[in-house]
Amino acid sequence: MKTNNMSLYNNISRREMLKIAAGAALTGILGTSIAGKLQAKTKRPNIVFILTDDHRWDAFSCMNHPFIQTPNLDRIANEGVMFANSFVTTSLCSPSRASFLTGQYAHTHGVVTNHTPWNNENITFMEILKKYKYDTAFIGKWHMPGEGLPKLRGVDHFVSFTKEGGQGVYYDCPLIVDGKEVERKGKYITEDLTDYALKYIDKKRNNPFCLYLSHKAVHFGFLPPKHLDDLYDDVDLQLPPESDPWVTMTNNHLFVGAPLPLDMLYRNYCETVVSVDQQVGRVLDKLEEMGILDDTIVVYAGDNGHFFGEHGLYDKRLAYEESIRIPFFVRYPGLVRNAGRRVQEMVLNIDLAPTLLDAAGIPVPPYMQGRSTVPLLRNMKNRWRSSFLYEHFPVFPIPIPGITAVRTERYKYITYQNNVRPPELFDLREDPGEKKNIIRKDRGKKLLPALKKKLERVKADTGYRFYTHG
Amino acid sequence: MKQVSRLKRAGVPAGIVLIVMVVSINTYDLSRSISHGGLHLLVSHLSALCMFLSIWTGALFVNSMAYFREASFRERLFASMLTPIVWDLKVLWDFVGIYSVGEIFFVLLHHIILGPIVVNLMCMGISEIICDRVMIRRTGDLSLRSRWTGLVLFAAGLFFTLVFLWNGGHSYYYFYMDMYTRLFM
Repeated sequence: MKTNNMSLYNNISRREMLKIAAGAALTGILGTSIAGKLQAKTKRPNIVFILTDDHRWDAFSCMNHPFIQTPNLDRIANEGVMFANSFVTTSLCSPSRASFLTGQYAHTHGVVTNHTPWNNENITFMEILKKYKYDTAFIGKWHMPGEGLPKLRGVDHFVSFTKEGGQGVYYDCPLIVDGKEVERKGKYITEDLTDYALKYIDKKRNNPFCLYLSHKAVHFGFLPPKHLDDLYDDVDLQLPPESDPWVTMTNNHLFVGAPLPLDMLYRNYCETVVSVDQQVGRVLDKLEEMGILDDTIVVYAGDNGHFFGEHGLYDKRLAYEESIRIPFFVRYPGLVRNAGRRVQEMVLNIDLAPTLLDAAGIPVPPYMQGRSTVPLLRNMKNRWRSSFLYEHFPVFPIPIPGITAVRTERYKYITYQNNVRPPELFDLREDPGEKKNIIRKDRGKKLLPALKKKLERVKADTGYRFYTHG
Repeated sequence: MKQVSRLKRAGVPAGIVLIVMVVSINTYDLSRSISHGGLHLLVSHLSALCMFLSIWTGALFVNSMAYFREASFRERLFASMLTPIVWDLKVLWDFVGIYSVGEIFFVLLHHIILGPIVVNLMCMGISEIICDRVMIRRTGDLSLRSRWTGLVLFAAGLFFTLVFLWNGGHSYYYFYMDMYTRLFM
């Protein structure tokens, strides 16, 4: 029997026709939905990286600080992950900030101290994101020496300041907005920078965006906004037992330039931390209000730690935990599994750039020395680093020598330029406060050869070279 | 006899303040190991106070004591500057092995190094003025009224102190670091 299409149609009943039509329609709808989901999955996430200055790793309520309340910062950690063992590779503003931007050690990107100029040949992760069609903005503290502000490649919107050598001031800090100086009388800088950030986030756009929001807070000056000025006037600060109010004015700390009683400084510091938290809350609220919070990788980190009397010290630079530990929180439901985790693997400031690129589905350039933490965010089993190099270069006129140290998961071995200070070895599990230098003890002597070798290895692996000064 | 006299005139006052400085610095550093909180704070407060007074204002005591022991102006000047100079050398020692010889010399111009010198000059000036007044009352020697050394010392010390402290110390600091960058970077 001859058949043709026409004869097929002739033999289909009306019921069958309706069934076919309904099926086609359903497929069309589902297909669109699946296509939409596929498109959403391949759409790159927005990125908001918030970097603060001198914010200690333990100055958060989620880190059980005795009195500081940081509900908004806690939210990032609780709805994302907290990297509980995060460190900087150089505990100083400019080198650390350059490391965040480039994914490289200070001896590689060249900003080894607060005096060494930024080399505009350095490639930041923002430049790479721009190549992949991100809208980009850098808002806040740049603080890398050079002739004024650089012309940052790959940054569409650049808001920063040069007052006080790039440190800025907490009140009335003039800003340079895309090359033009703008007076900011009556403005408190953390809030002012956040205002610029919110305006940027709010812009209508077709591309994903990357916002690098870099606060002056909580750097010395430690000036909170007026409404927080007396927040902690009556609290028991619970400073370390070995500290006293004179720490900032003794043992060469005067060279750092904070000749005020330690307890007064710490009180102001804590109040300033709260103001940062409040401003971060505004950013989170804005993203949520726009319905893009879950499509945005939100990262919060500090550029280095800070001593407040531990070991009788003030400021940072040295290789002890209070100086080199930083907060590092990541919130992004698109990647993070089992939100609220505390990841124990050692993560570094140089890991930020590779992480953001990897999370955005962009290949990580081989010259970046950090590692992407995406596997850790995904809670995947992963071979991770078991040690890292810490380095510090002499910064005139501070009488702290060059330092190289290797930190493993358990031990820390610290050496000093020309042995001007005796080397140190700490068992961080037995002695987390690093009070007992075991280098001359029997146990220390046994551990030393392997740690020396490890230090040489991490130096060789990273292409370490010493800079006499910067 | 003359040497012994010089020692008594100027050496003893200078030595007293120098010893106070050395003892207070070491006491302060050791206070950190005191486990009793209250005692730790008491010792740290007292030793820090003695440290600051001896380093920054020791000339008030040294010059006054040496003045009434009939030390000459030159002897009083040397005695008054001994403690701040020794402290400066102690601080400079911490730069050795870290920076170049040239940079260490440049540290000499830092206001933390020059500060104790100029403040002690100012204190010496105050001491001279007061001691002259006391001496006039004791001896009736009115020629002391026309002595200008105290005033000059005070004025010079005050001038440089103000220069270093201008704009919270920032003006001199940025000038100083600008010079450093031009010379060494």
